[in-house]
Amino acid sequence: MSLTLRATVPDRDLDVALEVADGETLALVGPNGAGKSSILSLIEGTLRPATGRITLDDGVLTAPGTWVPPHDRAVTTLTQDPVLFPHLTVAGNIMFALRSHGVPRREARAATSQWLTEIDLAELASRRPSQLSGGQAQRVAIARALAAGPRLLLLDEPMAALDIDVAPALREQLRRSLAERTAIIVSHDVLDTVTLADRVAVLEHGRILEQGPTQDVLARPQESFTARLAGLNLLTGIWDGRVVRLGSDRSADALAGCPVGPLESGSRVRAAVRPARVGVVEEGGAAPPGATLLRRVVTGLEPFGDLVRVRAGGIAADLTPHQLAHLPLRPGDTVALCVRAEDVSIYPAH
Amino acid sequence: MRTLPRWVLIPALLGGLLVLLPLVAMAARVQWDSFGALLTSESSLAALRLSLQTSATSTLACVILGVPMALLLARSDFPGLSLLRSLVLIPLVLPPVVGGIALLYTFGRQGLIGRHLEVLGVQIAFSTTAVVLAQTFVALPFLVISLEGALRTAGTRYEVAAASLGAKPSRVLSRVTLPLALPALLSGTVLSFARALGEFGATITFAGSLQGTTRTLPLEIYLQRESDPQAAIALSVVLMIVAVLIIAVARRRVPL
Repeated sequence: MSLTLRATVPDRDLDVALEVADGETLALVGPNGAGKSSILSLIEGTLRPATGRITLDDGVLTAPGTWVPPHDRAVTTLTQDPVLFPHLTVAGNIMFALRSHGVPRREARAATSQWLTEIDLAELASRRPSQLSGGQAQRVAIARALAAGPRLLLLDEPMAALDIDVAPALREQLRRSLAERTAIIVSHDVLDTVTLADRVAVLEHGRILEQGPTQDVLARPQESFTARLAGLNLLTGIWDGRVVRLGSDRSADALAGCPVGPLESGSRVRAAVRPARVGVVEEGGAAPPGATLLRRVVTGLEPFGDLVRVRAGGIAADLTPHQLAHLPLRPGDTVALCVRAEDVSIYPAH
Repeated sequence: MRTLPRWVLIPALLGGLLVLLPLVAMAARVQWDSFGALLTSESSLAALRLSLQTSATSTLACVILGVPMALLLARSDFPGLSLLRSLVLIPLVLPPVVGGIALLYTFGRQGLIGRHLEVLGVQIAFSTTAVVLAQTFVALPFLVISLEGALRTAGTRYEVAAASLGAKPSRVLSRVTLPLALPALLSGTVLSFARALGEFGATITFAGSLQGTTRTLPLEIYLQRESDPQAAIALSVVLMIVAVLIIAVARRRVPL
């Protein structure tokens, strides 16, 4: 069940090409309005591209002169709104998916009770959707979507509407369900991406900026959006064979770090460092051996868990309130950020 | 309530009296001892029977024709749709007599279609069929408006979800769209029936007033009002009771 998609939608400034291999889960991430939902609409058949071609296995879904209607695509979408049919019971909702594929009534009934057992909601079989909690409703929606036997499952922010305490159980259920399935998930939550996706595609302004295995993309981001998602500071410069030059002139900062793999001297590279590993040196203080000092102007401070996140010149540093108390940090102040070489990973820029 | 000026109460009360007082006045004139006999006279029974038959038939016709109309108006998108939506409402605002004339020049002997039917030996005008046609003509918009409004308000999200689960369009219609719109369909049907039952102008113009064939309850009441006012009052009370029942049913479904 592999998907290939190549499509342009000029109305929405969308121009993308992507593939999902058999059994793989792809996460689509990107800022609001990047075109993630448009891609799902193209695949489910509720949006027609101006040009392009979408195939699932060997079958063409969308191509010039070919248009498979949504109900014939074997593509099922799960959204943050479970959209359970209010006039049917929980069991009736799951039955609906099975009966829509011609499963005889008797078999559909048996399969329905199996699904209900699987999601641990057998005792709610005769409830109406209005009598379910948000988490229960979403579990029924997942069972219903899987019961439809889709070749491709689309998940559009499936956990966005759930309480924070029911999300983990649902995420675990999704992880089990998606293990062997071909699926695309759209999510703002890095946790969903890490736990559910094999690969990540980063989308911005209707274009795919980078894609690759989840671990690689999140460990070595190329784009600022991806770096924010992964919780990393991202710096770009030139590798001079020894350090990263963060500017073009001779006085530019020289950042020491650990190259990930071989780097070509004079090539553009990216450097990633976690905000928690960025320190601050008091005025007049010297850098510890092997660390780089970066002088930046403070732009803002915000609470971050039990730390305070200091933003200065595009770099975030997470400091304890205790550290902060000794430093006169106000927006506009110049601060000396301290980064140790072993905390900086350096890799080629694409 | 506190934000309204007090004087609003006076015209509002007058309006309420205008609606209710005539009903009380009529009820006060009913001679209950002869009520049963008046209702069971030959002409009354014939009119009652005919009214129920024709109204039921035209209500059925409204459902058969009106449901697909409402679906198309609510769910399709084509140029001229909003114009078409307005045109469907014409029977609602057209004086029924004018509707009757229009029907006469369509299905009458010399009518657009009627003259061809005449050749085939089919006469519609001044028959029971004409009564049903006239009632369907005036009642159809009630069903279409009621259902179309509900379909629009409900939106398409359940239908999109059903298709995403693999349900074919006819299955989506029968298992999702119509069941969800059932309350509106019921209230639309009840309103259509009420309008058909009360139809007078188009019927008398297009179908005439033949006892047992085209003389429905409203026509019978109009005829009896001179010769036998008590019979007219008794029949009116029957229609009034039906009206109250209909409001009781429909009020729970739609904000009338």
